[in-house]
Parts: sequence; structure tokens; C-alpha cells
Amino acid sequence: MTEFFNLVVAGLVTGALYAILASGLTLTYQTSGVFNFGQGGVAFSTAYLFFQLNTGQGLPVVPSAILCVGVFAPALGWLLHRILFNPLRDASIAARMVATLGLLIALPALCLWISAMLREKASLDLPTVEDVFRFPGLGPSPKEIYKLGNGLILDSDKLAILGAAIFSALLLWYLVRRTRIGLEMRASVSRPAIAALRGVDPDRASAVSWITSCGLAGLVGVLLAPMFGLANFTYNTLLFVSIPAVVLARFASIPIAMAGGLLLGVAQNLVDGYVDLDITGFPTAVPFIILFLLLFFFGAERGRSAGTTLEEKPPAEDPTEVSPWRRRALWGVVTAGLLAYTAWGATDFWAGLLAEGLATAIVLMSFTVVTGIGGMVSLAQVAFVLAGAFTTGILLSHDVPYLPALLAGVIVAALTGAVIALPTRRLGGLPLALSTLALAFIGQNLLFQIRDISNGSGGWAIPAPDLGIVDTANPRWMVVMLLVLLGLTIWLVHALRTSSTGRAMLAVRSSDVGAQTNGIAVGRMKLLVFVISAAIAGFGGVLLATTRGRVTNTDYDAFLGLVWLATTITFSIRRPAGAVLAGLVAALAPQAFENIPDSTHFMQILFGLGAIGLARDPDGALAAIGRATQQRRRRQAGPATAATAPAPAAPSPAVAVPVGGDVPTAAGALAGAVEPVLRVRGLHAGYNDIEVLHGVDLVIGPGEALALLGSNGAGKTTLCAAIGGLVTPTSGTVELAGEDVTAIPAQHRRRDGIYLAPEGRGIFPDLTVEENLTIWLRDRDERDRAYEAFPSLARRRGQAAGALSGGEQQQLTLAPALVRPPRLLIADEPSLGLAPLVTEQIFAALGQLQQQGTALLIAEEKTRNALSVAGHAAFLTVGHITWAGPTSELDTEQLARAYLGTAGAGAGATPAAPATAATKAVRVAE
Amino acid sequence: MRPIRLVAAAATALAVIASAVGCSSDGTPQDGPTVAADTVKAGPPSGWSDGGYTVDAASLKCGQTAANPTRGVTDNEITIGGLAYLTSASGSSMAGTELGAQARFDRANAEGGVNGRKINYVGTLDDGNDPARNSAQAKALVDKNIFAAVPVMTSSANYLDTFCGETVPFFGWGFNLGFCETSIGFGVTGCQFPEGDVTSTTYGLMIQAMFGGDASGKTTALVGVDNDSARAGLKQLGEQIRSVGVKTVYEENPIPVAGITDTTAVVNALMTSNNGAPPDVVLYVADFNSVIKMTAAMTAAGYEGKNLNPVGYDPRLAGFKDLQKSYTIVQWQPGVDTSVPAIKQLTEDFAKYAPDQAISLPAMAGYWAADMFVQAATKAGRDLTVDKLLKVLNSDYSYYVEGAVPETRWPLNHNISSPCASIVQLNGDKYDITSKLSCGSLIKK
Repeated sequence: MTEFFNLVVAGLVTGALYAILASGLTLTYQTSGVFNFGQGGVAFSTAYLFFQLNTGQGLPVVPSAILCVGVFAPALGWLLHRILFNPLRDASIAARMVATLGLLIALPALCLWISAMLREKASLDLPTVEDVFRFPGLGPSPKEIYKLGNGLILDSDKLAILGAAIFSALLLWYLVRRTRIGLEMRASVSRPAIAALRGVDPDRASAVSWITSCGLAGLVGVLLAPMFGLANFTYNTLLFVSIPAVVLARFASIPIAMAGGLLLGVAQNLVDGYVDLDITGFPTAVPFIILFLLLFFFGAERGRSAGTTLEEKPPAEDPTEVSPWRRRALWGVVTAGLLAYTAWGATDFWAGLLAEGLATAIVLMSFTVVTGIGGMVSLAQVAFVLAGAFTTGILLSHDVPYLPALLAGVIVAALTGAVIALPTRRLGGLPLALSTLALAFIGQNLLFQIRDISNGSGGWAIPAPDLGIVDTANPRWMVVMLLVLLGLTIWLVHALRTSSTGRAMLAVRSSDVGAQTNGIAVGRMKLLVFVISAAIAGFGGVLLATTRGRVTNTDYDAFLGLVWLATTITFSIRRPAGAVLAGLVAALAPQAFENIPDSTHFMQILFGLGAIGLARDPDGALAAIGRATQQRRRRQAGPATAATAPAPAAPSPAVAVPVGGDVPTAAGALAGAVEPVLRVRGLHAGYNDIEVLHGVDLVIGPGEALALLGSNGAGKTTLCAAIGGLVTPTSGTVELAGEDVTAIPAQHRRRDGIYLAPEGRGIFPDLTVEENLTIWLRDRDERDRAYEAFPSLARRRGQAAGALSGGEQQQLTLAPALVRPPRLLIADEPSLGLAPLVTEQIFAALGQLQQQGTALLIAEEKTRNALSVAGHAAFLTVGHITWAGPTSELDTEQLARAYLGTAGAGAGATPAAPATAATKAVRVAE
Repeated sequence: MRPIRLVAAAATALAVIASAVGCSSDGTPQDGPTVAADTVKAGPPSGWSDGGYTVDAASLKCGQTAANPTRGVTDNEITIGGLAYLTSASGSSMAGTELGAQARFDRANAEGGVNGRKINYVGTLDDGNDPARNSAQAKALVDKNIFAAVPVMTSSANYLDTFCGETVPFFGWGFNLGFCETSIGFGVTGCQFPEGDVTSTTYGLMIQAMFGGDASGKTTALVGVDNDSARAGLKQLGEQIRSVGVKTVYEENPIPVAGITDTTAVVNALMTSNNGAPPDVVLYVADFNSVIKMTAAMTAAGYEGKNLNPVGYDPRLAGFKDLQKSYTIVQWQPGVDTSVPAIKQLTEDFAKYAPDQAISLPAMAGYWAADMFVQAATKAGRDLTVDKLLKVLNSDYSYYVEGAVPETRWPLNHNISSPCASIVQLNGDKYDITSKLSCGSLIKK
């Protein structure tokens, strides 16, 4: 019992470490959608700086800690937010993941490289990590050791971690629950669009979360150094080990993540204490087994809503716009060049490196299949490489000829792929990536430790085969053979992508559910992608091992899998050329940069630059180059066009003809003398490539109420959203009280301007009533007035808004507007789903607002309620205003025609079109 | 520079490892060869008994004649380059080894070179402890046209295929497989991964020495790292210890590859491993941080026996609190003993040619590897070729630095390390030499 108690308590203390890391991961994932593998890098960098300041420069612990944990780490977080993660918010999960992987690799390398350069070039006396045995932490150094009770041993390093965990928990609790920014964070996590409408800037929330989580990572980093030394490897491993806690919290709940971290420490200790499995690698693999099991049970649900398969945009069109023949010619020239270089230019050494690069390219091609075509991020490719190469090695050692051995390697790799895919394919996006990472670690620590498979640390020899016609022991012939095989692989990938199977895969990738309803067996398709990718990785793996002559179980570790993925995505994940370049760079670059001081670390820094490049261009370097070429070509073409046909300075008659011919324009009768509250001109807007509004003009005067009528799908909600600033118009303008607000997103608009009550309640269901009101009404007095207006809300102020009735939710939506009347209130379907009595209350409130001078824009499918308040009406039919005028001129026949989409121009139409056309012409000329 | 902090290397650097496969189920195997405990005595560092074990040079790999036997040799120069992990993601490093070799080569050059040829030392390439880089850097060395590789100090043996293909002799510390069963690899203490029917009494003797020469009835626990090669290494150390009649009561590999996070479970198990009581000696074969954590935790738990490890010797560790009173086993005579003429010479060479370099184990290994090469190349004579050098080395050659480096015999030590070591104990600010460099014997299984 004492032993059990000791194990549990010591486990809790150790778990504190995972708790802090897991809470930081969860925080940034929640607010910015990025799962930050780079946290280990941030922790290391902070600890390294601390070491340099404290040990190197003799700065005392407290100022060093303040500088590192209080200034450096948070500043780094802010910087990363600005240059890396904010731009990547909408990028694919693969791009986001790789940016953080880039950090994980580059940040520590940058620190080490900078200090190496300072030492060498500036002759500064900086200590090296290798020269120091005891690293400073925040606790006493050397640590104090305490023996408590019956055999429970704790030390000051661990207690410092525990203290830090408690501090972090309190800090996060205070930040998230007690501060304005915390409220805004929770609001933008709960419903990002509504949060933007209420003036919450998601950037600000994301920035604060990055600053906080990097600060925490820095704190952990400094505390870890005296326990584990300053080793990048250890920092990353500890971060990976803490991931199960994040999964337990379903990537969402910080308190559960912290509790999960503590539990993880306990679980590890109990396994160490009571599970006596004599299997090599089991103690090392325990956290990854836990991770895999947790993902297996908790990952799927979340994966479907947050995974790539649903959220990723369809593949961009090829940005280079180079014709297929030109591209083939380019390939041909490059191949011929390589061959010529191999034959006449290269030494054996460089030819050998080239061969290694080509073999690596084949391995990386497997990413093109699984991620580029299949949309799944797999970090288990190294396992397939090892599975293939070990199989071949074993068979070769039994005198099986090379070709059958190679074939067997490919088959075993494919089977391994099937085994990994079967349990994981139902996961999407991040959970899939994490589960493959877990399996890669389990493979490395358990499976490939088995002596019969790996042949100990010596591994298996894989000599280059003599193919009869050519002997590939000569690296030049090896290059030729690999060029042929690489060509075959590219052709295979290309054929796969253009086949019906490939198209089905792309369909699965764009929309899982959509593909399913179209009769595509999604599960089988994903399995197939995985198996093909694994087979390619195994094939490349055998060839890679052949170019090196040997395969051992340390050659391809899980971390290398991350590096490979990062390299490939940095170039391009969708095009085979990306894999080819990545493969060549992986093999050749270390040699090419050999003369740079501390070249190992310099190489790793390049990954960081790659990540920043990725933030600018999530499709990778090739796409960026393509785009640059295209722009240059356009620039070159531009002046030429201008010379022959001068830019149309004046609106030409052709452009001036308004869309629709009939000049359907809505305008309030009061427009003209008094400046209108809202003036919309020639508004075009939509989503992605689908235009919903095809040139809408609308004017609303002060205190006026306009009913925007139209059938389902007419574009009412889009119009409301475009005016409210949620959807950026493609052309046209939105003016609010004379000020052009077209380009200003919702969160940056003046708070007394527009108040949009969106369709389906504009509330944050996870926040309490009080918190909902606080977002818009910062003063307590204002909130009290809201409660006066809707007494039923007052009674429920502490409850989650999601628990309110539909009517109360609508009241909660409108309450802030009643207290701080805006110039214009837009209510999108305010009566939707409400009982008639409740609807009446809502419209009474709207009427009250109008009396206070607020102009109203009420979009309604059901006309009766809207018309009871509105003095004017406008019909919206498939993106056009087809009738506008005072409600007094409205008759049922017009209504019917409007709904049926056959209405012509209304009597009250004012020709505002020429102005719109002029605006448009100007925009075109720009 | 913390020598061999990387687990695999740490586990194997000082271990004599055999090929035996299989797992002990209860962690306390008592099998393996034993000799009567009273017949095992520590002897001098030369002339140790080979127990009847012999190696036929013809059975070794890479025994072909060189395609280009005068590669890297001109009338007045011999080109030499080294390969080591000077950096690594795990923070472990062999940094210092390049300067160690440099110091020895500089002295050789100052004394007129090797048979009139100066040594052109092109430096030691860093493989970053990355196996892929290891083989690439080996190719780069061949591309630099080196005559031999000195020093070779890597965890990975991927360089071997290249060195073997080009017949590049290499000298270093034999803690990777490349030094074993190859006719071109020369470890300063031999091959540390013996494959086959041989073991030695080294660790047993060292434990005896810790008890003043009589360890009868004593018990030892062995704690290792959780991977395959560390496991095999630990099993072999167990055999060595049992061979002198010391019981091994615990032989487990509970330390994860990235280092131990919490010691509670292991300390619990150790403190009760000897029928409910703690053992007399605990041997930790792990990375530096795990070793100090375990040692400190055991001390705190009231352990009064002896802590033994292979990674705790470095002049800069003097005064290190968490390692006080613990013993470290070293494969040669540590650099603190300047009463030995060769150590005195070494200290002077470092002071002259590498004044900022601490005399750590990697630095010493680099120095001795260079020394071994210089001696052999000198003996090969003026008409130096790769084949000539290898012929000299592989025909009953013996390398021994009196009182400093134990004797190795070639080709014998291509397959096993010399059965020798020394033991130091950290007492306050200084290392006391508990047992001077001494040798046991090989045991044929």
C-alpha cells in the first residue's frame, strides 16, 4: 500500500510536467487551430538562453528567469503568432503541422548556431552545452532531496515543476475565466463569426494564447534543464509523451488536459511499478501505446469535424500555368543534365549521394500519395521504409535474389500499411497524424527492437545488385537505374491521380460525407491510399538502403519521418516534383553546406525558413515559384497592353449598363436630402468561387425600417453578412453614415455602427448570459439596463446561454442593441423557430429600437411580421433586388411575383445605377 | 563534455557484449560460465590470459588487399581524417576527441613525423549521431583521399561498408560494431561487441576491487536502458560479474531511451531486490542524467551500498554533489595519475597543443587512437602502404602503453576487448583511484 501511495504521489509530481505542456498545447490549438509540435523547441530555446545568461554570463537566477520566461518566451510567442501561425490559420492541416515541425527543428538549431557563430566569429566566451554537467533551473542547484514518509523521495527540481504547474493552472484559470481577453478567447472559440460581429478580434485572442503558451513552454524548459540536461531530443520526447493528455481533453478542455497530464505521470509510474513485461522497448513505448488507445477511442468524433477530410479546400489549380509539354520538356532537360553530370562530372562520392537523393525521392513520393492525393497526414512512413528494407535484408541474407527480395519488401511494407490503416483510417486530420506518429514510435521502440527482425544494431547488409546488363555497385549505374525507377514511380503517381480511383480519392478528401452519399466506399478508398503509399515507401526504402549498402534499426527513426514530411511539404506536397526536389535536397544539402560553420545546425535552420515560407504559401515553394513567375510574366505583359490600349479612364458605355438591364434598385424614399444610414452600391459577394449577390444596391435612411424579403436561397443572409462585415464583397461598396466600410472586417468596425443579429441566434452557447452580455456591454450599468428590458434574462444570468429557450436566446441577442442603440440593426430571420407570441415580443423590441432612432434591416422569409414594422420593403431574388418601395405600395400580387422570381422593376425604383456603374468602372480600371 | 551520454553508447562502451539472444524472465539469471572465484585475480595491464581463445585473421571481414594501397601517402605526407559524433540531438557528444588526436599528431610532427612523413590531419567530421550522415561522412572522408581514419568515435557503424569497400584502416574507441570481426578496425581497447563463445572477468574483478579484493557473498544489481543492444550488453555484464562468484540479484532495463523521468518504481525494486534488502552494489549503465538521478535517489532512499557506473569520470565533474562516493569504471588509466610517465606525456601534449581542452575520456580516446596509429605506421616503415600497415597490425602485433592503456593483441582484439579496466571513486573535489588499471582474463564459453 505504501508502495502504491508512493508511486501515485511521485507520479502526480512527474505528471505536473506533462500537465503544463498539455495545457499549452490545448490552449493554442483551441484559439488558433494549430497543434504546436514546436513547443519543445520553444522550451529548449528558453532554457538555452537561461543557461547562457545564468551559467555563461553569471546573471543571477531571478533576472535571468524574468528575462527568459517573462520576456523572451512570450515575445517569441507573439513573433511566431505574427509571422507564422496567423497567416496559416486557414491553411491545410499538413501545412500547419509542418510549420510547427519546422519550429521544433529550427529553433534549437538557431540558438546553437548563433552561439557557435558568436564563439567563432566574435570570439565571445560562451559555454557549450557539452562542457557543462549541471544546468541551472529555478530551484537550488544542486537540487535538494527530500525523503518523506515511508520511502517517498522528492527533490527540489520536481517540486519546482509542481509549483510551476499550480502557477500555470491558476494563471490560465485567471486568464480564461477572469479577464476580458479570456472572455473574448472563449467567445471566439465558441462561435468565431459571432465573436467577430461583437467586436472580438480573433487575432488578439490568438496572439494572447501564443504568448501565454510559449511563456509556459519557456517555464517548463527552464525547469527541465537541471533534470534532463539541455538535449533537444529529450525536450521533444517529453512533449510527445504529453500528447495523450491533450487527446484525453479532446483537444478542447484545458482543465482536463492538466488532469490528464497528472494521470499520465501516475499511469507511467504504476506500469513501471507493477507491470513486469519482459519485452524490450515496453517501458519506452508505454506513453505512445496510451496515446494510440486514447486516439482510437476519442479521436474519431473530433476528427470528423476538425479533420482535413472535411475542411480542406480543394487542391489549387496548378499555379505555374505551364503547358504539360513544356513541363515534360523541363523534366527531360533536368534528367539529361543529371545523366550527363553523372557520366562525366561527378566523382563516385557525388554520384553516390545523387543515388541516395533519388532513392529518398521515391520514399517521399509516398507522401505525395497519402497526403497530396489522399489528404491524410501520415507520420508512419519510416515504419514502412524499415519494414520493406528489413524484409529485403533478411531474404538477401538467405541468398534470395535481389528482385524477389525487393518485391517481398514492397509487399510487406504494403501489408504493414494495411495494418496501420485499418484502425486509423476512420480518424481524420490531426488525430490520424498523431496516431500514425504513435505507431511509428511503437514500431521503433518495440517491433524493430526484436533481434530476429533487426539483426541487432548491425542490421542487414543490402548490397547493390548486379542486374546482368549493369552492375549497380557502380554508383553511376545506380543513378541511372534509380532515375528509371523514379520515372516509373512518378508515372504511377500521375496515373493514380488521373484514374477514376484517384478522382474518388480527391472526392473523399474534399468531403467525406459527400463522397459517401455518392456511393464511394470511403473507408476502402482510404485504406487503398494508405496501402499504395506504404508500398511506395517500402519500395523507396529498399532502394535507399541499397544505396547505403545496409539497413539498421536506428537508420530511420520516427523523428526522421517528421523531417521528411517537413521537407516534402516545404517544396510541394501535391506535385511529384516536390518529392523529387525534397529527396535530392535531403541527401545533397548537408554536403553542400559543409563549409559553413556548425553546418549541422545551419541545415536545420533552413527548415525554419521553410516553415516561414510555408506560412506565406501553404502550397509550398514550388507553388510560390510558380506564382512569382506568373506575376513577373503578367508584369511584363502589363505595360505592353497599356501601350496599345490606354486604360479606360472614363466609364465606357458598355460597362455602364447595369446588371439585369431593368435597373432594379432599392432605395428608401427619404434618400437624397438626408444622408442615409446605409448605402450599398453594386455589391457582389459570395463564397469561394460561387457568387451569391450579383450587384445589389440598397439605401436605408435614418430611423427607417426596411423589410428584406425573399425566398429561401435568395441571398438574404449573404447580404446581411456582407453589410455586417462577415463576408468580404468581391466588388461594390458598403457605406455606413457616409463612411466606406467595405473593406473593414466586422471586428474592426465602430461599435456604434451596425449591430447584426444573425440567423439562428447571435449568442455564445457556452458562455453564461452575463458573459454574453459582457462581450458587447462592458459596463455593469449597461448590463443592468439589459436585464431591465428582459427580466427573464436577469433570472438566468449565471446559466449557459445554450440552455435558454429560443425566445430568450433571441432576447439575449437583441438586448445589447436595446441598451446601446446602433445606427443600423440588421436582424436576419429574427422569428425563425419562435412561437407566435414570442415573435411578437421580439418585433415589439425592434419597434422600440426604431423609435429610439435606429434604422432597421429585417430579413424575413415570412413577410407578415416584417411588414408590421417596416415602412419599406425590398425583394431579393437570386442575388438581385427585383422590387423596392414603400410597403404601402406593396400588394399580394407583387409579393407572389417576387417569390416566384418573375417580378420586374418596381414603381419606386430610383435610378442609382449610373453611380454604381461608375464606381465599378473605376474599380475595374484599378 | 559528458562522455557517451547517449544510452546505446553508454551501455556498450565499457561492456563486453556477446551475441547470445534470449531474455531472462525473472531478471536474475545465474547461468553463464563461471570459474572458481578464488582463481580469478586481477593482473597487470599486459600479458593477460586469453583463456585459449584465438582469432584467425583470415576469418575477418575486409581482409582484401587495397585497390589503391598508397592512397593519401606522398613522399612527405600522410593524410588522416576522423569521424565522430561531435554534436547530437540527445546532447551527448564525443567533442574533444578531435583535439585529443590533434595533440598526438602535432607531437609526432614536431618530432619529425612518421618515418619522415608529416601527418596531414584534415580534421574530424561530425556525423551528428545520425546514421545516414555517418555513411555520407565516411564517403566524404574517402573523397578527401585519407590513408586511414583516426579517430573513429561514432554510435553508428554505417561507415563500415565504405571503409571496407575502399580498405580504409580505422582507429578509435571500439564502441560500435564496425570494430568487430573486421580486419581494418582497431579499437584502443579492442572490439566491445564480441560475437561468439567468449566473455571475460573484467566487471567481476572491478567489483572485487571495490571490496578490497574479496567480494565473496556480495550481491550486485544491474540497471540498464530499454533497447535491444543495451539489453544484450547488460546480460553480458551480468555474466562477467557472476564469473567471479558475485550474485546478480536484479538485471533489468527499465530506463526509457529518452532518460528516466521518475525513479520511484526502480528505487523501490532495487531496495528490495536482495531478498527484501538492498544489494551491495548497483551498476547503472545509462545516460549521464539518468545515472545521477538514480544515484541521488538511491542515496536519498538510504542506500548504503556502492553505486557504480561507466559515465561518471571527467576532470570537470570534481566536486559534483550527486555523484559523491560513487564509483566509475574506466577502460584505461584516468588522466589524473601523472605519476605514470605516459600520462605525464599526454598531459604535457594537451597543455602544449590543445591547451583549452579538458582531458576527458573522449579526448583521451582520440589521443590514444592517434598514438596507436603513429606507433603502427612507424613500425610499418618508410615504404608505407595500406596493405603493409594492415599486415604489420594483423600479424601478432601488440599495442600497450605502460600503466596507461591496457595491452591489446591483434588480430585477437578484433573480436573482443581486452579484459582490463580501472576504477575511480569521486571523493569531494578529487577522484581517488580505487583500482589501478589491471586485467582479468578472457573466458572461452
